[in-house]
Amino acid sequence: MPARITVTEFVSLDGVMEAPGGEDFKYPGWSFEFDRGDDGNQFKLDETMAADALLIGKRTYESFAGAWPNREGEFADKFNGMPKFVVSTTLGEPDWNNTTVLDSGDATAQVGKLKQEFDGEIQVPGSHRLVQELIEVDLVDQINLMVFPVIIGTGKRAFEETPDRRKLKLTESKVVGEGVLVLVYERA
Amino acid sequence: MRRIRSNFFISLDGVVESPDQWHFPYFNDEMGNAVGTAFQGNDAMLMGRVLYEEWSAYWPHNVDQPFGDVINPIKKYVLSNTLTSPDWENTEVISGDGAADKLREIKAGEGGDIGMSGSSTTVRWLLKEGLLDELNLLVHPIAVGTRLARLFTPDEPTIPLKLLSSETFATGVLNLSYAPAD
Repeated sequence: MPARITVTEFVSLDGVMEAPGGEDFKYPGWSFEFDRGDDGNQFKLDETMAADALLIGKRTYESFAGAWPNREGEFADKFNGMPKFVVSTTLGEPDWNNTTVLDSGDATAQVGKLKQEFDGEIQVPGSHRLVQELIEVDLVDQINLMVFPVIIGTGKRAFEETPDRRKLKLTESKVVGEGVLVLVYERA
Repeated sequence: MRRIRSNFFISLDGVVESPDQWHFPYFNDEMGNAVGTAFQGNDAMLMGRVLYEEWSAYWPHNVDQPFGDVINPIKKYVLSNTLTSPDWENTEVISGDGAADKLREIKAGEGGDIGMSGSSTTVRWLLKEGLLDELNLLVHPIAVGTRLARLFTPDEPTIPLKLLSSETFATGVLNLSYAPAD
């Protein structure tokens, strides 16, 4: 059975997904300004615990590899322990535990192969360009969004222009914390 | 205080242009009711010039349709610096540097709420000016992906919002109502 690929993003109402937890951006860490409540935290914990591997681009790798190895707790243990696959032709030797670099240059072919060979759920957080490529070739099975009540007005968006439209099926929706939406979409 | 209430059909990737190309498969009674509710309590419409030109070319000649009965006689405010003598009945043009003050005056005056349908350029301006009271989005479960206009363009100011209500329809359409944060 092929792996399931789940994209997971923090987005603003205008669809910006850039640097919700830090990094170099006009509003670094903007998602932390909102209270996502206990149920929002629980959603993220359950989601993370359901992952069997992470698939990420280079920038997200650098952000995560710079943060998680120094942290403790349930999230950190999970992120540090599970397999990580990084799509990059320039990363070289990764320091972060259990990381494999997919470096052939043809990202979608490599991910397609990974999807066939890996058993379980592969989550794709952040990873702006990789997500666009995966959506274009229809490798994404599920999209989890946490929508924060703000118009950011600048930055990379979760959904850029694509050649084709994608119809989706909303399978879960709820409000957590202070007006934060949790949305789960699957392929229609 | 009269409220300015804006309404959009919008795709998950933020497209608001040409809903005729992607909206109809998702229309059902729930959505019809939501659209009706969004316009209850309104006794005027506010629009930009583009929408004015589309609607004023169509509705005066289509009085027999239900929306024609509503939209033709209702008071219409059009934000435009180029439209000078509108032909459509009960239309008032608001223009120039004083447009925001004029709208503040209208909002402070007597009357019901002021509805909007589309007009994304106008809505972005209203948000920046702090004049918009409600942003109602019917979010369709589709990433349209093509080169159609989105509600929010890059290089906007950051505007914190609060979620007033959210509802999920059987079609997977979300009915979200936002207001500027306090």
